[in-house]
Amino acid sequence: MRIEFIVQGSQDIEQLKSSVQENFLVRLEPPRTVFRTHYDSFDWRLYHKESLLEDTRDGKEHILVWKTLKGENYCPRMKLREMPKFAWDLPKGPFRDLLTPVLEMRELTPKVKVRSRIHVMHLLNKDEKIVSQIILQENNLQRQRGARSQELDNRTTIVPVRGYAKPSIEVARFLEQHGLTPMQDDLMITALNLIDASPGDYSTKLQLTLDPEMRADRTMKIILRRLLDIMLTNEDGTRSGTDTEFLHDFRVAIRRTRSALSQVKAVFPKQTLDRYKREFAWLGQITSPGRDLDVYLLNFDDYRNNLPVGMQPHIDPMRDFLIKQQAIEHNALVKAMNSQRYRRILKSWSAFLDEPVKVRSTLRNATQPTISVARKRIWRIYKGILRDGGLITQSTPAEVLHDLRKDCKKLRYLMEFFRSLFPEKYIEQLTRMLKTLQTNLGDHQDYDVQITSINEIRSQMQTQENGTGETLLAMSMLIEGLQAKLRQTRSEFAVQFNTFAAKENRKLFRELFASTWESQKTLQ
Amino acid sequence: MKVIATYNIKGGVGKTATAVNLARLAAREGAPTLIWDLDPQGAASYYFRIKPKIKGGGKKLIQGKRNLERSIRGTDFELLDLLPADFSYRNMDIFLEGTKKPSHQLYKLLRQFKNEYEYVFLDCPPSISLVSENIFDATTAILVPTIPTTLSLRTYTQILQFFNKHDLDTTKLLPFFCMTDRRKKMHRTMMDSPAEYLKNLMPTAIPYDSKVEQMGAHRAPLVEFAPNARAARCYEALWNDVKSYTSQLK
Repeated sequence: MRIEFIVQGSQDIEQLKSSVQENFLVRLEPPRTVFRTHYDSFDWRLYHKESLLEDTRDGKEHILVWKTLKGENYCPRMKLREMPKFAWDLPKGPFRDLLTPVLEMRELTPKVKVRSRIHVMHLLNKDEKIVSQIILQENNLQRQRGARSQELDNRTTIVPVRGYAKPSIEVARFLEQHGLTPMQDDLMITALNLIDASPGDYSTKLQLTLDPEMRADRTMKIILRRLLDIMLTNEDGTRSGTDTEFLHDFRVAIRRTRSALSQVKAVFPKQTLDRYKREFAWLGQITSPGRDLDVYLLNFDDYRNNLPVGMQPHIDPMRDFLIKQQAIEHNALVKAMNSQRYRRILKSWSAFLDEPVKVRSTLRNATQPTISVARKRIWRIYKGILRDGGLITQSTPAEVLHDLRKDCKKLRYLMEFFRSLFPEKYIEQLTRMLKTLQTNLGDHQDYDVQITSINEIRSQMQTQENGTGETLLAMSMLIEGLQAKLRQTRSEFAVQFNTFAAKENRKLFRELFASTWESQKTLQ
Repeated sequence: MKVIATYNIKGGVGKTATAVNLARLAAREGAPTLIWDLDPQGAASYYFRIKPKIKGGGKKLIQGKRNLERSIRGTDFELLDLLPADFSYRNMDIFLEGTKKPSHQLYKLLRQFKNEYEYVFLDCPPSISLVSENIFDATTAILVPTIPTTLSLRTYTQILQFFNKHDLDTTKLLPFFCMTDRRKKMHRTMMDSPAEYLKNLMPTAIPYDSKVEQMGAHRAPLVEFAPNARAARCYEALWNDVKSYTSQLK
């Protein structure tokens, strides 16, 4: 429980202090200035969990409080010498254990900063034991993100001491009688509004509401523009390279763009299409090695833990090797992103997307209603997946599964692009089914690629005399472990595919994407 | 979560002073800490100005029929909470007998706090009973304050015998010299050549210091109101010893 009041402009902090002193037994601390910063990941993971992480810099100390939007603490506050960047930088303990699964690999970034002059009053009982804390705050928004430094609401917070609820309730009643207004919103939410930041506003989901009758070329430009915006949002983070997920989201937007260009055919002129297909393939290529290394490093603890305890320390030189390679690849990526070619692509692509579509077009699909183009394309890819997947047996080469995985990805992207055109309930159900199959195929591909790559890394380390015999042995054991997992996923494929291709799903796919538009409308 | 008990069969050896000061030091370093005053005399509760009373009595609490969490009180110190004593704790053996696994009950009760506290200190009553068996079961380490005198060491051997007889883990036992006075020949002799059975003897000894007695008047840990007192500095050193020893334990 935490009770907060807003102190109106006309109410004086000193007066308030004296009237509390007259009515309660209190001990005063000398006033001091603290600096409060609201932290979250770039993609607002803590806010999506209806929580706020606040760091209060009080002298040389940082006090970290993780609370719900209603002000209740998730776990005891934590005192630190410096603010951690990632959850894994926190000292071992409940705070880290609870924060890690929410934040995962994302970096904590400052969202808004407030300076507070605080007056702390300890409320005492007859044994002179502290039973509640009254904190009067004079708050100021610091200058940031184009917003000028300005006064914020002054507030009074009552923090009850555990096991002593009554005295806090009495003080709250007293303050209310003295004209203070109880406050629901956290100060940080108010501060975020003042700097025009909307909590939770980042998503890699397209979140588009498309018009089924809009001509396809126009719709495609809307979709591609949104993908370009996601790329641009993640550009700075990708360059800085501290948080791996910027590059991930940047890459996914590139991959979706490539998929849109190749899958939705005959909507853009061939020459334009060929140019951007080539340029986005280049973007995919320059971002690929860095992401692969990020994935190996993010998985590294799992690799290590899967080895016998005695072998675990011997794999550590591989981590050092990967970190060095990651730095090399990151520099190469930044160099590519600083190149004229990169700047030119983004500029001309943006201009092309903003350019209105030509009224007349000879291209087959350009002026067709979006819904009919989308349905035709999705149905065609789906049929291909059913056909190719049905032919896979235990002896089919791995490449065939890889091709099927690519087709599933194309289907998934198309379903995501056009999801607002179809009844939500059904498209969600089919996406869920597809996701399960994709997980199986994705795992299969990941293990296969990792086996090849770790073998290559092993050879490189051997050539460069970077690893001892034990390290190379540990890497071989790691490869054996991955091979076992590869066999396991392969053996599970048939079950996953059969679930995906089950009769009721086939029926639903047909109804959504193959039957007449009119009969599909009845599903809505 | 690490559970650390301050225990001795003998009374008046500095169990409560040790628990109170070490708990305060742990919390001061930023570790969420709970101290459970298991002694019906309620001295630890008194030091923190908290009433030695459990609503509804200790029986329901010990038998897990009343929420332990609701009885916890915040102290005047950040991150340090206390579970108060209750006079009914004098019958704790009987309460424990009424549970399914009597020697396992404290462990079972404490488990619920594993995500909340980093350290739990148990300030134990001076006896050897079912309560002690529970303490031996629930703890990561048992600090045994020992005055360097013949009688005090004799009680330590009694604890050791009990551990051996019941096949308990003696590496949990961390004896340390307490209330030492190097002007006394016996103290000097016993400290300079400690008996062989004092296997995990902590390197730091707590000297006799009249300031420790003033904790009752100040109603606060010594490390708080006289941080530069000799005994306060020794408590800090002892806390470092305990941390480094317990960090090696599984």
